[in-house]
Amino acid sequence: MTGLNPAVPGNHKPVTTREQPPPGEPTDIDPDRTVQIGVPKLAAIDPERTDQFEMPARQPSARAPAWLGEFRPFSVGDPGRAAGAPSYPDPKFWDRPDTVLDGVLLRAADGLPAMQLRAASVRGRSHRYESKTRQDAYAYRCDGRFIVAAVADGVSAAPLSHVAANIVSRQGCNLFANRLETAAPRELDWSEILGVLAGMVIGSGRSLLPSAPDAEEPSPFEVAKHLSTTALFAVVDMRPVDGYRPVHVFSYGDTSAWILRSGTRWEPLQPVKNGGTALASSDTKAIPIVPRQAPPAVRTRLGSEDTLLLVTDGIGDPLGDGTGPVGAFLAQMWRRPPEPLAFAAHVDFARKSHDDDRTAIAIWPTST
Amino acid sequence: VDNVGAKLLPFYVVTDVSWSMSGRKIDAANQILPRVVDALAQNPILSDKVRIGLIDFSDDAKVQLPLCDVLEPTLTIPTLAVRGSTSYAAAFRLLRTEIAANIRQLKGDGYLVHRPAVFFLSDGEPTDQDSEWRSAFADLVSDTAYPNVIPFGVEDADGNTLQALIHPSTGPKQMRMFLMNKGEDAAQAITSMAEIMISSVIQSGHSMSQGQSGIMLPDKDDLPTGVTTYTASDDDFV
Repeated sequence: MTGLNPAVPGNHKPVTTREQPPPGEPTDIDPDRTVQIGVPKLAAIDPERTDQFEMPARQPSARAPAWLGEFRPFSVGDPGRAAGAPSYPDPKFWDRPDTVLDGVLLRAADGLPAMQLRAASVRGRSHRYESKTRQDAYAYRCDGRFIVAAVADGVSAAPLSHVAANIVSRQGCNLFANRLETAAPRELDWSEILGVLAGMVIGSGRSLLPSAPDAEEPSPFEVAKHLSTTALFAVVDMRPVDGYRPVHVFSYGDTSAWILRSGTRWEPLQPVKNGGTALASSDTKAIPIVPRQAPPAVRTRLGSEDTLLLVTDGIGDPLGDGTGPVGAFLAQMWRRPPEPLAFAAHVDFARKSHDDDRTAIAIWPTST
Repeated sequence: VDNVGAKLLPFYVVTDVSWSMSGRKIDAANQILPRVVDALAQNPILSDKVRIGLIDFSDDAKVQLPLCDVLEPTLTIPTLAVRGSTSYAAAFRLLRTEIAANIRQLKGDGYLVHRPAVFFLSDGEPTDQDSEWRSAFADLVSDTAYPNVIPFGVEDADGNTLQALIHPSTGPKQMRMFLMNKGEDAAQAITSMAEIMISSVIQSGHSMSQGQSGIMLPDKDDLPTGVTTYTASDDDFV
């Protein structure tokens, strides 16, 4: 019923995160693996004869490569057959990139310490294989006092959802930044902003969807069949209170926010999806179909050793309740700000059955 | 093996193997699973998530292939043989215990299991008492982890009877049934039903990737010839 699955013949090389010793170092070498990398089988090695392990003489320094570094894709557990599946472009959206990313230091005003931000949005293996564009999006703003960050997950069943995800993440960040000019984070009216965002998506849908000149304009429900997205916003106050940055989180749908406490423990800021239910479900609430009363904001605070993480369900689902192998992997990689390109590679980790678009924004306090 | 959080979409193919299924019909039924396997082998995205089980029924019901990844290289697809009368009740009772046991084990192994689907194929009327199969079916669909049930009828299967097995029969996620048109060749119709099952497996797997839950069925216009689909409220099939 379970068990490792073989690769699709011919197009999948297994990828692992396990450190592989360089050829010639006999520590912990898997005999099968040594065959793959062209070193004699361990069984054939006479331990007394060290010359068998001698590598070609080191290149003279004049001929040594001028570069450093390497890249191997990440995977957690069984990468699944999907990890070896080809990635095809979406011929309807040539200019929408497979992957976008950022790595920035956000300066604060008034001599406050800066904050580090990493963001990446990566097309899922399912969309890559099926020639579909990425429908996740992210955005962020910083005025030196507040960071506003957003992730949005366009609902795939609606074909123009990437448009909705762009509008909601970008315009939503603008709205929050604008409101913060005159209101404190705790005074922000999420119901009001959610309503404005729903109106923007409906307006965009009405201009994009073809309709007869004398026909009635499409209803919100009609628009939602074409443009639909979840949304999650975080407002981080860069001014610490007792050493902690106050954080407010506003969400609608199954995008989720987490705090990695002291690099070790994932604390979910929303109920964990599918936690405790008999069967799993992928259904989600999504803009533009919104209630008059938005879900309540979540207030928390970010310690100097903590990481704030906003993710779409492409990461939230495999992260689960944060205690499993994906939680351990991301905690290890994200307790400190990684290289921006490495951050995107972490977001793109392979794991069987998890093939959705993935977007993550991570924010770290700095001491200076 | 670490399966924590892995998504799974289970399908149960439940096939009538009463005497009336003899000959070309059982041969066609025996081609259903190999064709599903061929379709999944071509799609690395879906095959990571789809699980298939095979149950047959006559006087009794048997699990012929426990729910599994059908691309496992060591797997042998069983060949069904005809054996007796047509107890729908036996099929529903076994399905109920099998689904419950499978979900319990898969959840215990860390999987996120989505609602299962049952493809129920019959060529005739149940031979058990009306009240008996009806109450066995009511038990099956009253569980929290009830399956979506999609009936497939060929030859002498009664539209009214199979219609009672559509589940859910109403609401946004209502299922449908597929009936062979009168006068068609039954073995050919079973082959057409296999195409519909494959289409449903693939569409449902896509749908799951797209952040939607639910079993997808091919539209009226996308059916093979000789087959018609009906909802639980249609009454024009007699």
